[in-house]
Amino acid sequence: MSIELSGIHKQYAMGSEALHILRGVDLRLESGEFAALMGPSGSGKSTLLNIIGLLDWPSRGAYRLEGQDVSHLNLVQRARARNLHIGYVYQNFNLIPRLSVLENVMTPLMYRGMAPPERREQAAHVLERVGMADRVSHLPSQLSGGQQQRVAIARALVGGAGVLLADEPTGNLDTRTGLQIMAMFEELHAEGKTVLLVTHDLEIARHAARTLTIRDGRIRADSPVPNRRKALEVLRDLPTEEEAEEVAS
Amino acid sequence: MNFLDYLQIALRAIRSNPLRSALTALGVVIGVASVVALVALGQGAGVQIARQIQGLGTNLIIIATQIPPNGGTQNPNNLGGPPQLFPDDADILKDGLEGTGAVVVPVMTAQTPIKIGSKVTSANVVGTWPVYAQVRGLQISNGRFLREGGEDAPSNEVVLGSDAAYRLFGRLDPVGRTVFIKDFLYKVVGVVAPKGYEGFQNVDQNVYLTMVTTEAQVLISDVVNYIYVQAPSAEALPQLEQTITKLLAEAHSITDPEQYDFSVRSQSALLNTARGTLNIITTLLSGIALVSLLVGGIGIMNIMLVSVTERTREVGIRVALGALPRDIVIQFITEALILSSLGGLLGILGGIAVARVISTFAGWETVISASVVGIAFFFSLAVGVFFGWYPAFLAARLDPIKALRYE
Ligand SMILES: Nc1ncnc2c1ncn2[C@@H]1O[C@H](COP(=O)(O)OP(=O)(O)OP(=O)(O)O)[C@@H](O)[C@H]1O
Ligand SMILES: [Mg+2]
Repeated sequence: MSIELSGIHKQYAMGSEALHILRGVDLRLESGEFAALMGPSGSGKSTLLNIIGLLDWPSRGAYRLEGQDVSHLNLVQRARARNLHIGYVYQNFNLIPRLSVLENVMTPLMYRGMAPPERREQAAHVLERVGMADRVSHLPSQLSGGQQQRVAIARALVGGAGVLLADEPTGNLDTRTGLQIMAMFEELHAEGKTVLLVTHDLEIARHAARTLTIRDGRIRADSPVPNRRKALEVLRDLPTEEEAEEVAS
Repeated sequence: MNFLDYLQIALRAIRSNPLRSALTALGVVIGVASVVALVALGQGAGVQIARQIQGLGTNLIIIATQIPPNGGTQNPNNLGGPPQLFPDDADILKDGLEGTGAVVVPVMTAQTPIKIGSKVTSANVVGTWPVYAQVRGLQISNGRFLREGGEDAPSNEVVLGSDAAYRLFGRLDPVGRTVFIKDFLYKVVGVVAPKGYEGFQNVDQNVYLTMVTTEAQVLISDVVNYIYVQAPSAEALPQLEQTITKLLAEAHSITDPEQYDFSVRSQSALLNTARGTLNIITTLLSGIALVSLLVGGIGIMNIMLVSVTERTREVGIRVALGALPRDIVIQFITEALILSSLGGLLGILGGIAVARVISTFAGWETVISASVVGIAFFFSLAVGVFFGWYPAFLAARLDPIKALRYE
């Protein structure tokens, strides 16, 4: 799915002053692209991601998703579009704590009105894909961070979304686990999903095909990544924990 | 998203904090239980009173005193004090109603000890005329009732109610034996078959003496509590009431109907008055109980508000995943509804149980009507929707972006 933003502004009224966070963002992501969005803290990366994810409204500007103008969708239409086309992955996973892994993954399908047996089947299928098939009845609190993030990715995928938006998905994970998650994003990109990844980590950004840098409310740099990192290769070369311990001692 | 999905989400939330949910529902339980129990008692009392009033006998007119606006000092027989009826009034009515087929019976009552040897029990002495047995439909199980013609001088005959007889003589036949009432010796001539409660009095504890005897040897005064007049037919009642009123007004020298110091009421009028009063009391009490239901509802609202705050982030996640505001509203209202309807069901059971216990231990009659149960349940549902709506509305209005950042 392609994403096309032109002249996107976002401002917040803070008392009498206007806080101008986005000041005319122009951005085009082709269907199947894998881009990393970087920028200083507070530069509006999450804000932009929320606008793309149809959770937030721009103050001004046009947004076309797969060629369709989505700026004028109403609340219900936006909810439907989110449910069908957008998958989110957050730094803090954002799983519903009282629901099991399987139920968490089934939730988007429930809001789509799918019948329970189908939901279950489809959710079990994606969980198997992310390697969590043996944890379906666990609660999120019974999982490690990396496992929770896999479940979150499964939830983002289960509805067949064309766009994956990830806001610092490896921010809470150690290097190895982070790389495993990145391997998944690479795989999903290879399958043709459009992936937009917010990160502070230059190394993580190098997994994408393209990096975008936002500063002072605009995209200031937009360049292809010359020699992309491949998560599986990096993982292979990463010292194992025992080796790391030896080096340390 | 179907009904079962909403139900499942709500049940999950309720089960995640069972104690809190139970305490929240308890507010509704208490409210509903008190409504059900109070109405059951009220309706039971209604049935009981109706039966008792009807049990007085058919086509009965009851004459009692009432305090008129001016205090009632015109009655020449009454030397000051509150309005009273006297044996003379009964005689006047008896003479005045001669030939109408009506039967007049005055009644004096007194609580006094009655004893044989060292055995003492308390008895309700009923001083009356022998026609009492006929008017009130007393069944004599043993011996006979007081004798006709014994109305002018004290007699030493007494008739015992079944309880009074049992307490004094156990299984022995009391007829022919003697008892002491206030130092006078009486011979038992008969025992009345068990009849049970009438009003709040167990008439089986009654002890019957002639009115003259009661006046001279028990009460030492000549105050009549009521005069019963039995009409020959229901059609004769209105005319008879008028005649009685006229006779008593003349006897008491009262011309202004506003100032009558006596009341003349038929049994059906009495029934209506009693029912009316009882309905007012029942309604009032249920109203108070409804207030407690309201308090239960506020408890639900309070907990729902807490629940929404606690689950702010969950709401954000659900909205991000495609939940509509409607889905969020239904989710939280369902939760409130489950709490309140659970409270309602338990409250109905509790109310029925309380009513049962009261009727077992206090001996009061209770009536559980389907309509009251239905209304109580409906009210508990209404409480859930009413008090669940606002928290649900707040949840649906949450900004998903802020909700997702909420810690
Ligand atoms: N509801 C709001 N009201 C006012 N200001 C807001 C609001 N939401 C966000 N902001 C401001 O917008 C700016 C951009 O926030 P945003 O979360 O997009 O930054 P970010 O680039 O994701 O930063 P980080 O890398 O730290 O996550 C911040 O300065 C923030 O304070
Ligand atoms: Mg951010």
